[in-house]
Amino acid sequence: MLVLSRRPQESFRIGHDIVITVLEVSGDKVRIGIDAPSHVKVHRQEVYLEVQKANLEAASASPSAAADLAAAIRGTSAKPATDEPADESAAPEPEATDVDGKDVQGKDRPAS
Amino acid sequence: MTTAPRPQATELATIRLDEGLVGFPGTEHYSVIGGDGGVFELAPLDGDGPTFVTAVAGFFFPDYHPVLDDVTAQRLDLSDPDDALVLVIVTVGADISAAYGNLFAPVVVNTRTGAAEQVVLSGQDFPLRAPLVAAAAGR
Repeated sequence: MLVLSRRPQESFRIGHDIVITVLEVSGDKVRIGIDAPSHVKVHRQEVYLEVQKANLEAASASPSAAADLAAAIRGTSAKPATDEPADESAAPEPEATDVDGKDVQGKDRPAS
Repeated sequence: MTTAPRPQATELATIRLDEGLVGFPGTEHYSVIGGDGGVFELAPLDGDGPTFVTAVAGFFFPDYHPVLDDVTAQRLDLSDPDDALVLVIVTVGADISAAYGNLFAPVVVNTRTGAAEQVVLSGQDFPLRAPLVAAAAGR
């Protein structure tokens, strides 16, 4: 691991276009600013590892998992999705309700 | 009576995740297969990644409204929310009734372009493990 010492407001650069700046040091907490291109996703390490672990667990499903799950869902649903698709409320659509259009455009980029 | 369109493999034949799924950066293209009961498989078309089971978020979790930050929306070229499809990755173990969906990091698809990304939604208080079959029963 490369180890560098920096004071508040000092930076270092990764490659050509990623700049990391130490903003503030207070007790045992350090605030960091990250300036990176939009295609570079920034995650807190522990968050990334949690999602990675969840994906690894999901990846170990059996080959019939999707079919088994669909069958189980049909068994629990009052309106089977395959046999009676006539009700619009029962049909899974690619729809806008999952993404709020106003908010899609309106928020700062949060570090995850 | 008009039947509402259900997402079919023919509609979402291939999606492209430029960065792959978290932990699986080597696979960028997935075939979206199925749709039975709102469940799709993401089958890898390149790389050596595994197949994932996913569920249409709005179908199982109607109160789930993830918000994309503007940078992510721009990466996906999602200017119109109508183009967005949110899939949650499902973990299916030996006990199907205990299957859960990952609402914390869904796969957001631009159905117009096929561009997709697993979006980590920190700060929005969504669970990493939300029971799926129970959600279906309560639909």
